[in-house]
Amino acid sequence: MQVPGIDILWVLVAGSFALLTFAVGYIIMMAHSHQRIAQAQQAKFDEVRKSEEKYRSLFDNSLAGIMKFSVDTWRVLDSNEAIKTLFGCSSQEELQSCISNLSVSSREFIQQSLAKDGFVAQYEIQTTRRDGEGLWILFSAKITEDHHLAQAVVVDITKRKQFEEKIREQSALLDQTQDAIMVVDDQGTVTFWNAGAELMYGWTKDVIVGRAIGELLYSNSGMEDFQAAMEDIRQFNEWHGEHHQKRSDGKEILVESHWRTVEKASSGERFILIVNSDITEKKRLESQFIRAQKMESIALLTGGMAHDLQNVLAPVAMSIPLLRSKVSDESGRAILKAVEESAHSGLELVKNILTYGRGIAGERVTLNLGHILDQVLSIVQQGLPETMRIERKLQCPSWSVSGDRNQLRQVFLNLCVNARDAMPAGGVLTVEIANVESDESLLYIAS
Amino acid sequence: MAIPVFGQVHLVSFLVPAIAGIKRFAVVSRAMRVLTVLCVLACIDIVAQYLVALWGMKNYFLSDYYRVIEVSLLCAVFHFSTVSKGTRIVLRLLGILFVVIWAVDMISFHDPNRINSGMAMISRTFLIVMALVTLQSAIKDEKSNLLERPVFWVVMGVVLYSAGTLLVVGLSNQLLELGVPYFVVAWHINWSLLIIANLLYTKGMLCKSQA
Repeated sequence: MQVPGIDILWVLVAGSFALLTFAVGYIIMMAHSHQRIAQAQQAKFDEVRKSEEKYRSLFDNSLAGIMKFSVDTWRVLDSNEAIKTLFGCSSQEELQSCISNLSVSSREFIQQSLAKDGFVAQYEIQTTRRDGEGLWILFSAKITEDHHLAQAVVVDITKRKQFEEKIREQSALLDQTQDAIMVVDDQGTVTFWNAGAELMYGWTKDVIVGRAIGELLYSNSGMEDFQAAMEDIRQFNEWHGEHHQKRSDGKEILVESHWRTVEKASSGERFILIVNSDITEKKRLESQFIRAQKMESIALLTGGMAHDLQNVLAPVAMSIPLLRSKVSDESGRAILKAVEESAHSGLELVKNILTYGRGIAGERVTLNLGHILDQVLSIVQQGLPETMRIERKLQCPSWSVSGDRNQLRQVFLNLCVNARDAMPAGGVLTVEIANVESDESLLYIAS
Repeated sequence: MAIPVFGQVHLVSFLVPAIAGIKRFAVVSRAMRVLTVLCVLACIDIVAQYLVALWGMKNYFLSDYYRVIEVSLLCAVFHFSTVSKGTRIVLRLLGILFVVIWAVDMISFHDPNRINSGMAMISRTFLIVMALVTLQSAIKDEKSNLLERPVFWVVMGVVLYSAGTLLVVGLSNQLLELGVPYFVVAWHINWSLLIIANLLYTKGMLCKSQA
């Protein structure tokens, strides 16, 4: 027979064991589940930590200055070493002082941009280092999730700004020069055109940049020279010579041109630097100088010849008075008179030539133009061809003029010679004296 | 009747968490301080029960009053161990509900001559629910290792003790009717689980992390 208490005990033990097993199992299951979650969270945490370490390393070792700051108060909350070095600071407090010294306008602009767009991209600020030395920085910032904070990247661009300033100065110097300086690509398209070129050619930079230099500056006849120069520059990287070019108004100019190939360091692209100097006036002066030299030589030669001629004519003129006493008939005396006059006339002419050739300044006296012209025309008459004749209208009583006899003779002689040269086929050279009432403009031209 | 050896060990086991708690009172969390108070009260209760039994009186009334203290203080321990507002509200509601049930029971159904096995089962059920709610919250909210946190060991002790003794306390009156030897044999389950629970409380108090 079974005791009922034993059954109850068995039920109690079994039931309690079952409940215990269930409770412990449940707790173990929960603990295991938590363990897995904790491991996953730990892994995620480790990943975040590694990522943070990586970015912290980037932050600390970055060559660019990085800082986190309050947008409202400009209080620097975090910064790397680079930004301290950039401002020449050794502590966060010194950096804070430098940041607070940024100009009010710059800070206002940054605050407004951050509030409006959420970022500031590459804003250039001029400020000073801790030691007072000038500093240019490139400031970029982005607002963080907390809208009162922003992260900024600051780069020192002082050297770049100094370089840009130098380039600007040099560019200004290029514009100051009178020479035309231009840069064209290997196809002859203009990429740079300085102020000197604008003055020389009359084309403004806006018009000419992007257009072919050959079509604009060279006439059809000059294109061959241009093509030849392009060939030379491609072959030898350098060329210089003279070119006939045209201005925007069509006027032709002569330029002394220096071409040199320049290679762009960044892209290896080749450009041609051209420096042109306008030598039109210089050439004209050179030509005048050469002609003057020739004239001087001729004058010297003529002077020598005149001197010799004077030696020849002087005995003739001196012997006439001696002969006059020995010639008794009238016809003979008339011939002697004619010879004497011719000899004196020749001597006078020689004297004039010598005076002009030596450049002796004549005396300013009151002159009768009709008499001077008479003398000049008698000389000119002898040098004219048979197809040309002189018509004299010297009867009008002219007013007296004050001047240098020799110089006036020379003026009239030149006018007559020019008139002769202007009529190679012959004609009539009319010389007339008239009294004219002149107005102020004529006087102005005459002076 | 002499107390069995296991029963004596069980009596001594109450001292272990109480001493550990008092020793580390300055460094442990607020929850563990409340648990220390509970352990001290448990020691007092068990001594009082022993003395009352020695005087030949029934000591059931001590268990009845200790029950509400035990549930309330463990509710406070769980409350301070969790950070989830929702869990705290649930724990507070459960604590209040239990006190109401206990009060109603004490006023209406209380029989000082019998073991209040019904209320004992209700209290253990409440403790199991509170412990599991706290554990669930701890798993969701906390990031550190569960085994390194005191609340886990407290929950473990409460659940083991409450679940393991649920049937024993429920059938205690029937066992007494069968005879004291049966009760003593069955009560070994209660003692062994109390020893385990006290050791687990001690482990909780010795945890380094008191978060």
